[in-house]
Amino acid sequence: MSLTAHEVILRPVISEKSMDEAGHGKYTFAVHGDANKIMIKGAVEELFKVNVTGVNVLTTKAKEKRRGTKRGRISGFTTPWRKAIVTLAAGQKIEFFEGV
Amino acid sequence: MNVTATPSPNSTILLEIELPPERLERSMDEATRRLARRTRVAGFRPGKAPRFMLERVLGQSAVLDEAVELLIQAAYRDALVEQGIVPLTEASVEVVQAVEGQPVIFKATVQVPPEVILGDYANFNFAPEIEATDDARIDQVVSELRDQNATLRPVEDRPAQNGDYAVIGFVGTRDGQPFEGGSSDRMPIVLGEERLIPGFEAHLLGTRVGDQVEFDLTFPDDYGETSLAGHTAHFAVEVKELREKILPPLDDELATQMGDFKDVAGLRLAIRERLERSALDRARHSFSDRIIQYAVANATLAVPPILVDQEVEVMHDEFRATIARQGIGEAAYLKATEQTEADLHTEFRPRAEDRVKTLLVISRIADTDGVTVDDAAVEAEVAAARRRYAGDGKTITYFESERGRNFIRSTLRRTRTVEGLVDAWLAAHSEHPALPHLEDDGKSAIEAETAGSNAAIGATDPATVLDLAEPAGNPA
Repeated sequence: MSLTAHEVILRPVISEKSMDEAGHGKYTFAVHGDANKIMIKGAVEELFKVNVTGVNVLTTKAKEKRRGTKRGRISGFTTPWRKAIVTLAAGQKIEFFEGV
Repeated sequence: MNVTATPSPNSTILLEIELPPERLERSMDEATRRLARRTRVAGFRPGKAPRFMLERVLGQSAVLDEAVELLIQAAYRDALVEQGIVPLTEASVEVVQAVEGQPVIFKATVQVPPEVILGDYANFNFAPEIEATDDARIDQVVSELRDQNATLRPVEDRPAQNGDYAVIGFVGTRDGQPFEGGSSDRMPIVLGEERLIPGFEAHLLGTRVGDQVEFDLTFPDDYGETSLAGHTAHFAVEVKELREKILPPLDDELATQMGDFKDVAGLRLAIRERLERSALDRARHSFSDRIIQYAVANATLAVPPILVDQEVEVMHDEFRATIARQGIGEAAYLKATEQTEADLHTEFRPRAEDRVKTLLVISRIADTDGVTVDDAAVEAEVAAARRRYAGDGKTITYFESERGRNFIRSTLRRTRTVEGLVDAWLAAHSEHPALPHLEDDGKSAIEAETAGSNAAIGATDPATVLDLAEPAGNPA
């Protein structure tokens, strides 16, 4: 399987938590569902020209959601996605939000 | 902060204010906090979003705009205090420069109270004019009282004449067909009052109860119902009842009935007292009106148009309330009189200008004479308003609010100023009889204007005179 760096890294995750961690050199991305730590490390290093010292990943699985409306019950699933928290070498930074 | 104040035409002041960049920076932080608190940004708790996220959600310049606005508001207030300016209305602000890292420059045009140069307002050479209460006036009131206590007696022994109260039934037809509103089973009329079609009642004179008359009548060309105007109709009328009005004889019995009066002389005396008192009250009102006119005429001031505009709006409001009390909607009124709102405003304008002038001049006199109103007096008015408008929650809330209290205070202050002028004149002219107010419900400032205008127009206020009478029977 070969994914390009842009295919591996979907977008940065911007939230209160991720912003806090970015201050400590840990950057959070939404990544391709099939991406593994090695691929993520390579993609981040390629895209942002930094050195990655660690990658933590997790997958949020789809959940069934149901709700009743006037027209009857609707059921569906939340979107499954995979999150990667990348630790950079000390002192390195990623300027967020520039494309990706 | 750097403020330059330049007086401008129409009693405005142009403020040019320059603020150092640090002030803007501090304001940016404040703006960020404020915006963050009221903006929902996904991924952040309210109030926690950083500035760049806010700008992403709200637009590039949102934070800067908010910051500049906050800054200008604060700086404007400070500048007013620093320059000792009392603004009349919101200022119109023009931002000259607002860039991060640079001084903020803005201009504000402030409407200030116009300078009022008072002329003479205390040394007028006119005196109050008290209407004489002569016997003719008393006679008039007495005959009004008799009229109200009249009884109706059926007439049988003579034909109908003017002034009789009749009840008629009639059928009106046009070309043999009854028309809308042209018939009635029992219609009370007073002969000679000509409430019906002109000429109608003339046909009834000389009839007796039970008589039937028929006649043709042409509607006048300007009759309200256009489909009938100018047409001829046939009426068949039956006189069903006929009564004449009998005035009670003017004797001691009537006097006793009217209240606790021993005889006619007593009644007349009471009426005379009432009339004299209300004449004094009227004299006081018209005297103070003249003083106001005199003071305004002698003062020099340029009325700022914006104040007149506001006053026109106020008058429009009052007008709306007036016609609403008569059950007329504003739109309907405008349509009926073929006027537009703009016409109304043009009509109000001269009066509004007068009112503004009067207000400004009296306020200035109050300043000069050092008239003050203490809190207790205001509270008393609020309490009075609470009693008077019990059940009208909105009005009470208004009077209890800061704005309402201020309104009461300034109204009271103006009233006292004018009263002070009147009293000062009376004190200086001790030979002149005192001019007491009618002792009615503590003379409320809120209604003082209404009372004033009532006094100005009410030649005889029958209610004041007749208060001493029993509720009069209706002669119908």
